[in-house]
Amino acid sequence: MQESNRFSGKLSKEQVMQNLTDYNAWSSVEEHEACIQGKPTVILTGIPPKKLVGSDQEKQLEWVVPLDIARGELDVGEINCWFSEIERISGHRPGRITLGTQNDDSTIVYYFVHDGIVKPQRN
Amino acid sequence: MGKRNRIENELKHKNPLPFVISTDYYGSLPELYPHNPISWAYFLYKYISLHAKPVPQSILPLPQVDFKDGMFVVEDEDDMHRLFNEGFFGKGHLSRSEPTWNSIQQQKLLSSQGEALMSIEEVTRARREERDRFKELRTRFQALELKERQGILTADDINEKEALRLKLDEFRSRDSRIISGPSKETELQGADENASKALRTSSKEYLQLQATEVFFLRYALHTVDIDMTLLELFKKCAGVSSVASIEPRNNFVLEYVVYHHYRSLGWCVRSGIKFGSNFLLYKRGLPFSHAEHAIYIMPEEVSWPTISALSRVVSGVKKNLVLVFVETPCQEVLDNLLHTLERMGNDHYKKNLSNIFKQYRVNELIYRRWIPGRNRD
Repeated sequence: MQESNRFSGKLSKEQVMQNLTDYNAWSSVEEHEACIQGKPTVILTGIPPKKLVGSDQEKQLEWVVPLDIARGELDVGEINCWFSEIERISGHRPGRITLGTQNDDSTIVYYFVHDGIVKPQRN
Repeated sequence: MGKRNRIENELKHKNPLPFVISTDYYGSLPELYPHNPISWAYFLYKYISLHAKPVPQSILPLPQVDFKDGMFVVEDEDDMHRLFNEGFFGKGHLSRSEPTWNSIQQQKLLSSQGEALMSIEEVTRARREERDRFKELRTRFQALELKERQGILTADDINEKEALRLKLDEFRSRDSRIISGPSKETELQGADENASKALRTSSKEYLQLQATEVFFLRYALHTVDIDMTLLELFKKCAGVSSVASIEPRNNFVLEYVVYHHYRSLGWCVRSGIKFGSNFLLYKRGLPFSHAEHAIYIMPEEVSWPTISALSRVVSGVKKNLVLVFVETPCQEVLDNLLHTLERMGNDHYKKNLSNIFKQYRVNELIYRRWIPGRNRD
């Protein structure tokens, strides 16, 4: 796939942050400097207004990785890097990360990325 | 959707594209009476004089699109609504689609009763809360069922279980589209705090346009103004610094060809990212009906597991999956045309771009999962 270079990493971060605070009503949204496969990037944390899934704790801190959809494909190695970077930053490897994929019409679609296999949730 | 809503939508989205028509601007043509020759003459005079006047589009100010931080944005409130209402272009960056965030935040601040009109986002939130309540009751009900199987159900439990069964049935039979307004306590505290903070710092919502949308509005319709030439816009959208590096299967060119194809056939085309596809096709527009088709542009190398997964996602939301095969010119033909585009001046950009797009052909196929046992009729 040909890559589009219309978006910068800086932009992804800001729009995802604004979407979390103003649209999804998250609180304490903060950014953390990170380095993924030699490239400087930003990982966000925030607290959702209520539990994202039933088994979460109340006011659980959530890690969010902003990502531009036009950037191309992802591989497992890079995803693993997110987990280890978060471990480096916080001293704790999270069981789950939220991926904030951003489209060029400002739509942000969130996906859970789990660290390994998890039991499917009941709908 | 109520009748009042329907009429409001008809009026709001009267124009299918953001054009001002001469008869709307200069007044409509007079009534024509076939048996009255004077009315013929008058009609003809009016008709010809209308043609002598400049096209309204050329004298009215066009909506202004700015390129900021790698995005195409429209910041003027009227322009935003005009582009969205007339043809459904763009998305409010703080709203699900229509840029409603500004007005909703203002309403929230102004009305202390909190009885403002419900936005689509609030409707969704209320529906989800209702679903959560249903799930809580279901969990409790199943716990009681388990106790029943273990034979340790008390008389109180039996009563509670019966009451829960009735409640759950009521939830299931309820029309999911009809929901009550949000009560005061369900309003999210955080959202309100953020809203007032945002208003204080006068942060405002803007309309963000996709590259395909901006290019269609500027190149095909010429109904927006943007501070760059058509060639610069083309390069920006295609993500290149020089046209010479554009390949036949450039992502933007493929997407634009497909976008233009369906827009020309009268479809309302919107981004399909939520369902893993390139575009969604609406018959008239967002408020009138759900999108019927999801468009997926076939890459050169097809991974059938991907198509299969996509098909499950798309059929889960009751849409057709349309696989689009784009025939492209070879690199040599494209290079010649790109060379001409760059060499000829500003006045010829449109014609030369058209020559490039004419080299592309769009073919489509509907992909559907077929289960012999279930699809016999």
